[in-house]
Amino acid sequence: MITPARMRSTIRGGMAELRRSMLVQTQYRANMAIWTVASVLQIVVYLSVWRAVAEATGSTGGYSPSTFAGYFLVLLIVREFTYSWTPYMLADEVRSGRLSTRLMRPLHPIVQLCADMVAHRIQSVTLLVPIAVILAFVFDASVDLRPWALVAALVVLPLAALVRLLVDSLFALCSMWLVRIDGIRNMYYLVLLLLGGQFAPIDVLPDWLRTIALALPFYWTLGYPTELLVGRASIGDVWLGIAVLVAWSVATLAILQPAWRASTRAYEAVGT
Amino acid sequence: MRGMHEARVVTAHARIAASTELAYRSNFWAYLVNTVVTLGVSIASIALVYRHTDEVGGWTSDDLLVVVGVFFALGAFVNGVVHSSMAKLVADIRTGDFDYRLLKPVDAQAVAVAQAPDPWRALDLVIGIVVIGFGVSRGGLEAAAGGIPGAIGAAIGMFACAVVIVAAFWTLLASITFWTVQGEGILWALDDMYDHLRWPIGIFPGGLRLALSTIFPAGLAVTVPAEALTGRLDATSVFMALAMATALLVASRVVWRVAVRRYEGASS
Repeated sequence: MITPARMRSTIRGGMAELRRSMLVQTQYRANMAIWTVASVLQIVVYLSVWRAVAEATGSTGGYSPSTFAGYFLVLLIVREFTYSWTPYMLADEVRSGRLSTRLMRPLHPIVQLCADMVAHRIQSVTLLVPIAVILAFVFDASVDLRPWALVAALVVLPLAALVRLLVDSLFALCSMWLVRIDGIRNMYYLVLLLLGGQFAPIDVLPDWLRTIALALPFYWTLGYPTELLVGRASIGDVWLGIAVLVAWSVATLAILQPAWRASTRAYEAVGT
Repeated sequence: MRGMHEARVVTAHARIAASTELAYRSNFWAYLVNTVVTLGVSIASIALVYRHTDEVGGWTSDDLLVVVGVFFALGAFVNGVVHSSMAKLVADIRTGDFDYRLLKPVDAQAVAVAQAPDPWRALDLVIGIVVIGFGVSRGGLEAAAGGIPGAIGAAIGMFACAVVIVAAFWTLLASITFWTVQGEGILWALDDMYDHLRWPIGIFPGGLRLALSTIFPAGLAVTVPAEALTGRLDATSVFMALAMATALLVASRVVWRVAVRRYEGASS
């Protein structure tokens, strides 16, 4: 049952966790640095591949070398903003049995995972924006950023982050049954890579693959906000995008509640 | 003989780790499907790129298959031996179990690099070799200096360099854990970085190419064996590979020594 009192205590607990996590994060600077390098590297690799293709052909899927660069550098920020760790964190807690202690606390274990992510995100996005700006000059990126798109992004980005968190959490619950999800987790991320607009904008995919991408939530959490910010979406598309994201968040939230209950029952607290 | 002793201890560790791993049978099927899907996505991404063009930076799609094959074969070592062993090292440092490791009369670094191999990953090696064979048979090797045997010999030599490069580099970064205590994040990040290096570094702009040869040399490690197998290997690449392998081996050894001296045993 969700009561106002419980909501309040969850929010209070969440804020406390957030403060704690912010402080913990600042202690592990080496981690932060290497994750920044990792996310920049991945984006720059795909950017370079597609730039090379566009340079050879002139224009690919409506993208020139400069607009490819723009797409991937905006994606760098969007990806960081919407990223979630639950498939790693929750699975790790389940496998090691640490989840048992968390289940005893009056705060939902998801709250702490969220707090960790928000804390990390605040710091990593601040770090990545200047890097993206510098890379934009290096790769001669061009972005058609319109003011209304920026306003729309204020709604779309948090929604996208929420949908991503919910979908990731649903997926992470598999670990309660399977204990080790390394195998299927990798597959999950590969689908995300190819159909989320991370490897390439979905406009360069063949039509049938593009249709599949549109039917799954991943494109809407990554590729779509990016396309919105680089000026490839019209105002009409914004309403569609918001509607799709709201629909996905309602649907996943509805499943998550019973799924969580069922999976905590399946949880065996194996321990190492 | 000291080296023999180390080798026997490492083998014993490998056997124990393998039997632990084999207890999770259901993981095998997930793993098999996973490898096939990874391969499928690699080939799909090549197909997506070559839908639009015939050549990227002088590399054809058949050449790219060879790169993907090397990526898989080397990945078997990166993920199946180095990463899993380093993950154990990092966990041991955090919990303080590393104390026990230091007490044993065996070289701690040698054991740390190979203590927890993941037997399922041998599949990646097999798949890698098959994909390489397929790519090479479509691309043709006759153009390489020294003919086919010469190219294969050079490729094996370069692959050995590549294994040394990744093993030493991963150890070097995992050694940071001795200072920061939290190291799982570093390993995940390295994993993530390796995962996207399915492209020859030759197609990248100069700065990125240099970075992937020195700051994160896994790019060089994936590329040089593929260059040998597609008749592209030149003196510069051979020199770079040998130099990086030697430099990293020495550096990882030195840093390890300093780090272990600094280790305080963070056990609770």
